[in-house]
Order: sequence, then structure tokens, then C-alpha cells
Amino acid sequence: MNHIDERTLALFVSGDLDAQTAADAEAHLSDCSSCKALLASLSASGQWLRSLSTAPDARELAALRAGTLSRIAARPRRRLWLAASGIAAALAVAAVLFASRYLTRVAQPPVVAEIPPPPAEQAPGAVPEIAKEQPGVKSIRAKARARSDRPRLESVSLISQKDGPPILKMKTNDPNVVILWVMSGNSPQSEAGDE
Amino acid sequence: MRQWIARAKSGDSAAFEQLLALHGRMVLRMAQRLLLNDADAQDAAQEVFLRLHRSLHKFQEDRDLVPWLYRVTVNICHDQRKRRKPAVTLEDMPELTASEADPEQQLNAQQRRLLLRAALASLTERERDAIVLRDLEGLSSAEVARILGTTETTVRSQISMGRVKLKRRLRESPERKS
Repeated sequence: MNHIDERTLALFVSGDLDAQTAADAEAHLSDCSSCKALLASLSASGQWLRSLSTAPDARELAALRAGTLSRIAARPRRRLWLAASGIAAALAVAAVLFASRYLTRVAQPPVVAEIPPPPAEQAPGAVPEIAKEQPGVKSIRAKARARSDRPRLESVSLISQKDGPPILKMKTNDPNVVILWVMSGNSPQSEAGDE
Repeated sequence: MRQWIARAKSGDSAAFEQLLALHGRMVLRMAQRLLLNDADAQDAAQEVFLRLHRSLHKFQEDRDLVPWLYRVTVNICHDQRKRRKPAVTLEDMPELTASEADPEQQLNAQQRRLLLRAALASLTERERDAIVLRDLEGLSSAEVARILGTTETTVRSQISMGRVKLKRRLRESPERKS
């Protein structure tokens, strides 16, 4: 007579077998006192295990409540500290960036306009060269661009006149502002008007 | 239940305390049975509720909280087992006497707890997980499989082996007749 495996009976106790295996086991158990006894033993041990089940007592539950709530209360302080650290780090980075930009600007050597000397007196009958861009004058732009609060210098050209002193013509980003600098004079004169 | 979850999500600390009161017993009981150590179990149970508090904002109100708590409790207990050497071994457990093994014998709560711990310590961790959820928490094999992240077949195997070991541990096995 083939008895039912003990592990199979352990599952039969709780109805964890598939339908066919359970039906076979049931048929065998109706005729086998040995397997019936083993089944009763497995069932009793399960009941005994459940009878030992105890719930946590009031003291343990109070400790759970207090411990959990105090750990939750401690978390926002940690988050606040982390946020403060983050803000401080961001401010420090911003300060370094600002200082480096500012200091770089201050440390730059002064931009000196390299204005070529006025052309030599031209031969009679020669056509005057007008509005010729002088490449060396471009460095003035860089200085002008650094001052964002003023009109930016867009282009500089030197106008040579046959019968008069050369004129430095400076165009700004404002079409209404054009600076004409008569080289023989001591001060630049500006024309600001509606063109 | 859902109203407590909704209120706790909106930052109502009294609602969260209500959830703690409703489920604290179950979570702590599970942790005690899985870890076999009261101090570790207390720590694990607190961690479960901290995780709940942290996850509330993304917790769907129509979701059942209990299976989530079971799953998180099991996971946290697994993590604790990995981190710490087992505080209790089978050798530390008291031997069961014939009178203690008698279901009719009246035992006090502390004795019962120690005996249950001794019985569960005779199982492997996987068997213990399955037996605690199936036989002590009364979940179905399918629910146990979902919580443990395994198959029903594996769970049945662990349960059957665990039950046989427990029966032997309780010295209640009768002589089989051929």
C-alpha cells in the first residue's frame, strides 16, 4: 500500500492541493488509518502553532507609536538642514561666478584705440578716401560693449577730407546717436537728432 | 480606511496616527515573527511606518493598504536580516516539554511567545516567511506568493516543508504503521 507523502498531507490539511491530487488523497485516507493519524498530527501541530500566537502588548504598541512619530518629526529638520546647505552652496557658487566675471573685467588692460595717423596730404586732384574702415579701431567696440548702460558703439570710420581735418565717425546701436569727432578739435561733438 | 489615507496624504497628522493605530499591531506582530527579536522587530515596524509616511503622497487611495504593509514589512525584515547577525538561533530557544506541547495547557503570553519563537527558529527564513503569512496571518497561498514575489508552487513547497519540520519539532509525530 502506497502511503501519501507527508509533505502532500501537509498541503492537504489546508486545502492547498490541486483538485485531482486532493481527490486521490481523500480516497486513500478513507482506507488508511496510518495516513489519517499523520494527517491528524499535522493538523494538531498547525493548531498548536496558531495557539501560541500572541499580539504585541500595549507597551510595545506605545513604543511603536512614540518611536515612529519621533523619527518622522526628526525628518523635516534634516530636510531643512539639507535645503539650507543647498541654498548656501548655490549662493557660494553664484558669488564665485560673479566675482570671477567682475574681477576679469577689472583686470583687463585698458583698451586703447589705435587710431592711425591721418593720411598724408594728398596730391592735388586726387579723390579723397571717404568712410574707410580702419581695422585697428575695432578694439573700441569691445570697450563700448562692456558698458551696457550706455549706447553701444557699432562701428567707427575715419573720414578724410581734402580741405579739412579728418573726422572720426562713430555709429552706435541707437540710430539717433552718431558721434562725429573732428580730429583737429579738442573735444568730440555729438549729433543727436532725428535722422 | 480610505478616508484616513486621503486625510493623511493631505498632511493630517492625526489621520496618520490613526493608520498607525489601526495597523501597528499587525506590522509589529509580523516583524516579531519574522525577526524573532523584539528590539529588531520594533525598529523594523517603525521603519515600515516611516516608509508609509514618505510614500503617502504617491499612494493611490483606492489601493488596499494591508497588502502593501505586508510586502513592505517583509522587505524591511529581509533587509534587517542581511544587515545583522541573527540575534536568536535555534540553540538559544527553549526545548519544548511534553506539557508545553499540550494545546490544553494554559501558558502565559511570554511563554507562548518564546515557544512560538522556538518553533519558527527551526525553519529556514524562506519557510518561516511562508508559514508566518499562510498559517499565522491566514493569507491564501496566492496572496503569500504575491507578497513574497514568488510563485504559488514555491510557496506551497516552503509551506509543506515548514509544516513537516514544525510537526517534528513539536514531537507530535505518531509512529506510522505500514
